[in-house]
Amino acid sequence: MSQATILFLIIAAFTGLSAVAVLVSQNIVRSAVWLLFTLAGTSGVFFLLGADFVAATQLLIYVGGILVLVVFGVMLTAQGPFITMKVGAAEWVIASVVGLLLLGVLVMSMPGPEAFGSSEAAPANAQVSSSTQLGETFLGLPGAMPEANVSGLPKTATAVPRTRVSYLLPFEIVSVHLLVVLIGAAYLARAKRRKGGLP
Amino acid sequence: MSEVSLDHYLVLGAVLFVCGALCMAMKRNAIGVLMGVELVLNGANINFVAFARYNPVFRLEGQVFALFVIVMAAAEAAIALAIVLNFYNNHMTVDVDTAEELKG
Amino acid sequence: MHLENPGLLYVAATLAPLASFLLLLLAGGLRLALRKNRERGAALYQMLGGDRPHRAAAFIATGAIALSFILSLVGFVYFLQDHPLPPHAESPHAAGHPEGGPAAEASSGSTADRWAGSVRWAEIGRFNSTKSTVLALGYRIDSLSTVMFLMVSFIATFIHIFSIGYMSEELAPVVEDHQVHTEEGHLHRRGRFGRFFLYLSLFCFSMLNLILADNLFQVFLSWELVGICSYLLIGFYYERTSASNAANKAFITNRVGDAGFIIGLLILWTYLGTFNFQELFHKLPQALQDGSLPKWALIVAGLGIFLGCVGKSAQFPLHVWLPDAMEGPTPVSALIHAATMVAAGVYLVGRVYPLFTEEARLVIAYTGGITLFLAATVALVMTDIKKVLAYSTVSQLGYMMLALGIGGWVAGLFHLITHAFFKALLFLGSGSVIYGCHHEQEMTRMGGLYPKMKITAITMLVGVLTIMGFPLFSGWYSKDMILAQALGYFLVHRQHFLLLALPLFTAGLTAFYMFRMWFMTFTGPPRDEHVHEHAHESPRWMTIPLIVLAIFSVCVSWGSPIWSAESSYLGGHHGLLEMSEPADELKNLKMMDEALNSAVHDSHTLAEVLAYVAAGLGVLFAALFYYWRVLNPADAKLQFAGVHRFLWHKWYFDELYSAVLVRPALHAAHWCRNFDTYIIDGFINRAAWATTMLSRWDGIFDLAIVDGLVNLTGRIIFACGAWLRRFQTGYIRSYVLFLVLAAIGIFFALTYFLNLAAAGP
Repeated sequence: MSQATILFLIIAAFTGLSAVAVLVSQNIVRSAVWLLFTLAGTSGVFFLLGADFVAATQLLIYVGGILVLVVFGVMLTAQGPFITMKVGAAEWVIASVVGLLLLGVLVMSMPGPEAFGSSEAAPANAQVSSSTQLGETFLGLPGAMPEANVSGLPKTATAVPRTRVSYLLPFEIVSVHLLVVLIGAAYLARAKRRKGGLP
Repeated sequence: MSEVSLDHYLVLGAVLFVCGALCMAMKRNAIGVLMGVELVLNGANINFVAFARYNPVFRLEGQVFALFVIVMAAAEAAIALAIVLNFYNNHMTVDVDTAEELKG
Repeated sequence: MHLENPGLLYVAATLAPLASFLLLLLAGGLRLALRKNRERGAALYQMLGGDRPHRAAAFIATGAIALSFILSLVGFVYFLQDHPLPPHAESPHAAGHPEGGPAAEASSGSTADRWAGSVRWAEIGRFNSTKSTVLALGYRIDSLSTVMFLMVSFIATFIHIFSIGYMSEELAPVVEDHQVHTEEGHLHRRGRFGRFFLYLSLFCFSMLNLILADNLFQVFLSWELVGICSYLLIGFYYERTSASNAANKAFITNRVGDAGFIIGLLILWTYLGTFNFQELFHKLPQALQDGSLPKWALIVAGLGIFLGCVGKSAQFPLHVWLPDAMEGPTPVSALIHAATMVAAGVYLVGRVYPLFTEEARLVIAYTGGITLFLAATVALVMTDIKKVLAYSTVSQLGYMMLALGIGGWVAGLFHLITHAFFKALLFLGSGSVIYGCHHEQEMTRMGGLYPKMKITAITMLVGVLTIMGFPLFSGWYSKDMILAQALGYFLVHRQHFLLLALPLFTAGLTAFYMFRMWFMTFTGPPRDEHVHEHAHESPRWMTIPLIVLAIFSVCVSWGSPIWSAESSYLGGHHGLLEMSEPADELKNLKMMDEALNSAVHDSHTLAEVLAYVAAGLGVLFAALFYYWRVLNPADAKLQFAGVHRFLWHKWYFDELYSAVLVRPALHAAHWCRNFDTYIIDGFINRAAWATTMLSRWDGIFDLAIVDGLVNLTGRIIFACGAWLRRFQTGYIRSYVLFLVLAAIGIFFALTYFLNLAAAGP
């Protein structure tokens, strides 16, 4: 076993077990904590895959933003007896069966290691700093992007100029989207008269 | 297990996905459901990035996608929390089992 | 004045009473329609008579028939111009007609057109034009027609005049009928004066049409019409059961005869293809010779037509209706059942004479013989004055048939004419007596009426003398002719002695019962004081026709010289009737019996003597019983009690027919009714019950199974829906589970069944 493998195993186990713990734990706060660990683990996985920018973003936004939000939510809605809500055993059984079924289906449909050629080609990409590459991909520079394998076009003598895929437009849309979401969330969560009053 | 291949990452992603789906199905607390959603999205993200790493055709589009997903997840979490707060204001509880007006 | 077609005068004479009938029908119908709202159409209603019958009906009808008489008289004059009576040359009968008759007819071929004509009415069987038959309405006037026409219209006119007086009771708005009993007593009904003349007019038209006709179809038409008129008139007082029964009897008995008539018609048409008399006689000899008409068919046809005449002229065995027909008013009896309708049978026999074979004619003769004897014996014991006359009519008709059967064509028809006059006279006289005695008809309650009703008595005496055969009275000529024919026949065919004995013996009987009638009615002490006291002579409306008819019944047969029967203008040698004798046709058919004719000629005197003897004996006995009252009729009745009872019950013919025909028919009717009620109706009721059961089961089936199926389907779907409803838990978590399960399912499908994803490891 190489170093990479052992590292992967540790981080994967950490992430997976944390995810299961999120599922299993009865206390909502504990679930939040396990979620924290899961998100961190995922970040670690990203680092392993050589996607440092994505990993960093994951940590920043997920752990720093979303989890904090979740914890705020827990705090805002935490009333003593409501923290733990039990679920019946039968439902656990059903859920386990369905979960295992889904897992099985997903695993069965995996393509296999030979599907896309050797993984040796990948390390070539790993040499360059992925952030730069990411930026170039965003902007759609020709060196960074392969030609898209577009099917369905008619076969002609001259090669059809392929379109370069660039992600600037989606980037802008997402920004606007975020703005809208902010406004929406602010409106949705505005202060209203509470029904029934405090217990 | 000679070396880590795509499959291993996919399995991990699947595990996360399944846990997240089950969380959505099992948790009575609305925040728990929200956590489940986050788990699902994370599992998907792992898949994306793994493919970006191992597939020579899709160079870095997986990572781009993963970034977008993270952003979207954040937005969605904000809205979801707003909804949960509204729900809490209306029902005085976050137990999703109380929202059974659609019962037929 | 020259007329193109004098024959049309006769057509006009026939149509005049029809016009009267239609006019009276229209007026009566209009009045009936107006009766409902008599206030609104008051003027018209009153003009039509209002609530009481209008006298004008009688005048219209009488005027029409009088017009007929005048037209026929004028036509007769024209006829004599075209066909003058040949001079009284004493050529033997056997040589046939002298030059005058047929030569005059043959030379002026156009005269035939002037006296005959025809209109095509309908064509049957047009598919094959050679086989189709043409129904035509036509007329053909010969001397027989003219004489019959004159006789019928003359007598009818006077009977119309007589009826104006006799039916005057019917002019009242309300008439009481003493013979019909209801809860409140006697029946009160509306007067029916107009109706009487309506029916009389229709009858006159039908009778004249019968005489006029030149084909059997038209004769049949008129035959039925006179039958209907007879029915209507016999049942004139229809509320009386006896009258309505008598009308039914008359019509039904006639119908039996008509069945035979139709058979005869059909046979003739089948083999000879025509109804026209002239064509029939023309085709007959050829058809017989070449065999297209078998002999048996001709016999059957002849007997069939004769059966019709038996019915119409009340011969044995269909004579039972005529005495009952006396239920009708007396003028009806006089006109229809004495002079005209019953004569139609004899007339027809005379018309289609060449169609009768030897066998048929023998049947005719014997029928006539039996009838005349039978009726005369019954008339001996009858006490109702009209019944005596009715049986006398039957008997005299028998004489005519007998005469025709044994070859005396002229004799039979001569007697027809004279009989019409004196029988009408006798009936009108009896009507006068009845009217004068306030509707008393039984001779046992009359007697000694001579001083009270002189005119009636004298005219009736004339009639009685005529029928007896008193010399120089018209009956003498005709009766002697018949007896001469009978005697001659007997001399030639010795085996048919009955054909002489019966008429001779019956001549005596006739004299006896006729004088019995006269003596009982007019002489002797009155048998009922009440009747005698109120008896009176009839008004002038009624006595004048009596006088006129009496005059005619004396002189209608006269010729010159008067005492010679052969020189009679009507029935003697070269007389009117002899002109129409179908001698040529008979010669063609080789039915002319020369030996018979000569025998008849020679035995004339002997017949006369025998007739005098018979009649004289009859009068003698009648006088002994009823005038001088030397012999007591009551004693004779006791002594011959059985015979008397037999005769009183009219030889038990009614009982016989009732037992043999009527009761079996009623039994059959009852059986049919029971069959219909129990079997047919029962079957239908069972079928209905079965249908009800079936429908009930069907209903249950429909309710349980069909509806059940539908309901079951509904319930299944409802159950499915209810079951599916359980999935809508309302819990978000279960929805999420289902989502996941669905995703798994789709994955499975994509992976393993559609090969869209790469296979597993």
